[in-house]
Amino acid sequence: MRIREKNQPELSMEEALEYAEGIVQTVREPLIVLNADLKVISANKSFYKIFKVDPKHTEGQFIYNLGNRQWNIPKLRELLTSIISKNNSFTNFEVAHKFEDIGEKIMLLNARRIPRLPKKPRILLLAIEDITALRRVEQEKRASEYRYYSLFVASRDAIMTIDPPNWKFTSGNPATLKMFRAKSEAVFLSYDPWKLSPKFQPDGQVSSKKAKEMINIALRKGSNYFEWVHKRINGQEFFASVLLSRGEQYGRPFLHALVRDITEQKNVELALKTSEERFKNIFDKAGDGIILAEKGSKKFFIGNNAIQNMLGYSAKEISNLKVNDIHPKKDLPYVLGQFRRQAKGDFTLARNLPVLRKNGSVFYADVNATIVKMHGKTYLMGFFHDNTEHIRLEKIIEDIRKSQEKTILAAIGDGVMACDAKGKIIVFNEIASQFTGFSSQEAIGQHYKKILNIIREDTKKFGIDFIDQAMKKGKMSSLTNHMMIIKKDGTRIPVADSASPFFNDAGKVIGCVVVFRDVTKEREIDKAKTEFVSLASHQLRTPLASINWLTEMLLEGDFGATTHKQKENIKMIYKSVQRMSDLIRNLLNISRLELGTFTVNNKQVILSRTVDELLVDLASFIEAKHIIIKKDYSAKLSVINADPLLLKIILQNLITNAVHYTLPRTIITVKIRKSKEEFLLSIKDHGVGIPTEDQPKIFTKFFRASNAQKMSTEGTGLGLYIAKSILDATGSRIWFNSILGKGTTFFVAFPLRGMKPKKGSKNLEVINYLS
Amino acid sequence: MKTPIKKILIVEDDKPILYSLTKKFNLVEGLKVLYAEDGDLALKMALKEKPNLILLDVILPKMDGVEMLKKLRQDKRGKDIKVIILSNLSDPAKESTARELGVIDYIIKADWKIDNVIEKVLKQLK
Repeated sequence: MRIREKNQPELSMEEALEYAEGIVQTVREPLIVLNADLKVISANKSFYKIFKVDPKHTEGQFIYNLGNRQWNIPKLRELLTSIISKNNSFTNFEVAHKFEDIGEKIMLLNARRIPRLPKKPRILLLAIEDITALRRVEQEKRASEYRYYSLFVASRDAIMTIDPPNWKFTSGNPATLKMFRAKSEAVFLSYDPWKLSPKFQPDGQVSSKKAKEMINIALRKGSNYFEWVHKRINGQEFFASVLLSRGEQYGRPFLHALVRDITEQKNVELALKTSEERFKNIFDKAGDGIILAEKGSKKFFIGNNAIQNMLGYSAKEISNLKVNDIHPKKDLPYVLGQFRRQAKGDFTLARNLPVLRKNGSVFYADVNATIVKMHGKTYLMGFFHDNTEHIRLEKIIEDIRKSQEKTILAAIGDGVMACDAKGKIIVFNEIASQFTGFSSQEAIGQHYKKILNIIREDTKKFGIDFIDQAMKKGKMSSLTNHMMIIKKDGTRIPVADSASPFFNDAGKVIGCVVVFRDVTKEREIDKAKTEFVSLASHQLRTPLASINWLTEMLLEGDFGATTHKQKENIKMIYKSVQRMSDLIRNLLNISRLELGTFTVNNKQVILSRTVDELLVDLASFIEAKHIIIKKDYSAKLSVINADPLLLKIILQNLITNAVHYTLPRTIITVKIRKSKEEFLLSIKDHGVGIPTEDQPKIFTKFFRASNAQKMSTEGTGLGLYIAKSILDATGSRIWFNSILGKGTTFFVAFPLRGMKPKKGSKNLEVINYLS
Repeated sequence: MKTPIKKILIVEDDKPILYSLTKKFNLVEGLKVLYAEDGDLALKMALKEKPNLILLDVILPKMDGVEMLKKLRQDKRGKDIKVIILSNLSDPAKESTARELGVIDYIIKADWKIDNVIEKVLKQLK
């Protein structure tokens, strides 16, 4: 290309025209040069090629007449006449025109008026850009987008898109919104994909984690089809199939999810599966043995769990056996005969057929054998009902009946009743008849609840549940104190009862023996005893108080000086009186606890302060033994509703015991904790411990562990009994851990609401003297 | 300086106890010790002598301690006399009646050292 330089002379006319013509020809877009009359001066190759016209019929022709007047395009006419007359150019006017030979063309028209020479008519440059192909592509794209969109909207399947990088929903069609119960797309989009799933998928995987895995698979493979449990916005869960496919937009991958609710399908699947399982369950779990044998070979085909247990063979072993192997040889002719007759239909149930276990023992079973056809084969199917228990029970009942005949039971001074597992009376002796007013003929065969009318003395409520409990728990149970039996005629007798279940070989309860006796006399003695204790204690206390005081005065020299020897002896008297006082106080406390006449009068008490006070009382003792007390508690966490007096009695007993029995120079740890349910107080000593054989009796009245007795003869054996009685009566608990020679830890647990309050006529008394 | 004389009345039917208490109180200077062995006499003496403090037993011949206290409080002369109940057995009903009638304390003889009883009384007389 020639470059015009500064000093170059102007081009000649011819040169300029040639120059322009060159440009026109080299331009790739179709280009036409028109004169002022809109006649074609020239056109470039591209024009001829695209619009399929030749120069001969073009040059010198009026533009509208080109191609047999096909170029008479209204829009072009408008542009060339009106726009060009006003402006010198126009750009990018899109014109669509249908040409006969080349079809529809979409053109972008650009025109420019070029001044030629002064006073010469100007020429017009018309550039035509063929954008048909471009527009078609665009149109097709739009159409496909539209098609996609209508599919998206109209689809009955839920379709949604998920975009990176956070893999959030970016769109969801109406079916999606319906499926997830979202009011609008915006609502739907506000949920993370894994928020619309339960926390876990049925396989136990965490939904959010598994969702990311599924996304990664879809990204890697292009698509991923899987089943998923979704959760609607209303919380309802449903089974769905999901097809995730990868797409690309602006060079970035995104996912496209097609979700279909398959709950219905799943339900059907599940129903099928459960009915299969149910059938299998019936087979496996049936209490009766079920076994199938091939008819011809008599070889076993399958047996359920019950028959495996009955026979003692495994499933595999059974499949290697024949019918003949599970019956004693000597009985085979009879047994097989029974089966043959059943198969013929003579009867359905063969009773008490002998059956041989793997271990060689024999049991008796009722067998129902039938013929079944499966997969074209004929099988013998047997239902085995083990009669062992039944036979045993019958034998026991028979034995008991016989023994009754032998008047053993009749000779027993207590009432004896026995019932079977259903509560039906099978044994009823003479004394039982005297107590209840029912004869044994009346009672036998009846339910015991109709015959034994036992009530609680205090509440007058029916109190016979101990028999039920004995049978349910399979353990002996006794009637609580203060029970009465009401006779047929209405008279009441205080009774003490116990019920012992009896078992079959398999350990199953098959009945219960109840023994009851008249405790009228015992009750009277008990009452007299308690009254005596109370009365005696009162009477004993007054002289004791004066002995106490006068001894104190003697020791203080109120009656004149005493010698050292005298003083020592007076001290011994004093100590003995103290012990007597303590014993009386304890006996009084026990009589009140046992009579139930004591008061529980709650106040807000700081548990730790009570402990602190008791430790102060014991300080000289603690020091003398060089004991270190570790206090593991805070006052703040130990405010409790309790009777201060009772609390003091309990803690005094426990702390005194710890100090008494811990070894010198050891640590006693007192710990108080408050949990959600209770206050837990523990006192741990490093002492002699409680011998294992004494442990069950440690809370018993007057009981002292054998090693404690050897250590000192002073203890009364009443402290722990009193502490436990109080705790039992106030809804609290006490227990201990002890290792002989290592030490003991006592635990007391008070409920958070505190001690159960109680109104009574007497207060318990605290031991104020600590000797 | 001469200490003003204070009077106490001990109401107690058990002789050894009465003996030990009177003996103990007589050792205290400036204290006049009166005693009565039944409720009836105790009330008469209390109203006549107007002691500064009464040590009162509950179980007494003729009239029991709580009854005597009731009558004492009904009388103008006995309305404000300090009373300490000295009993042998805790009885919540009796104790609460006594406390309602205005007593300084309700103490159990067997639980107290005699010195502590004396101390408690003297503290009230100050």
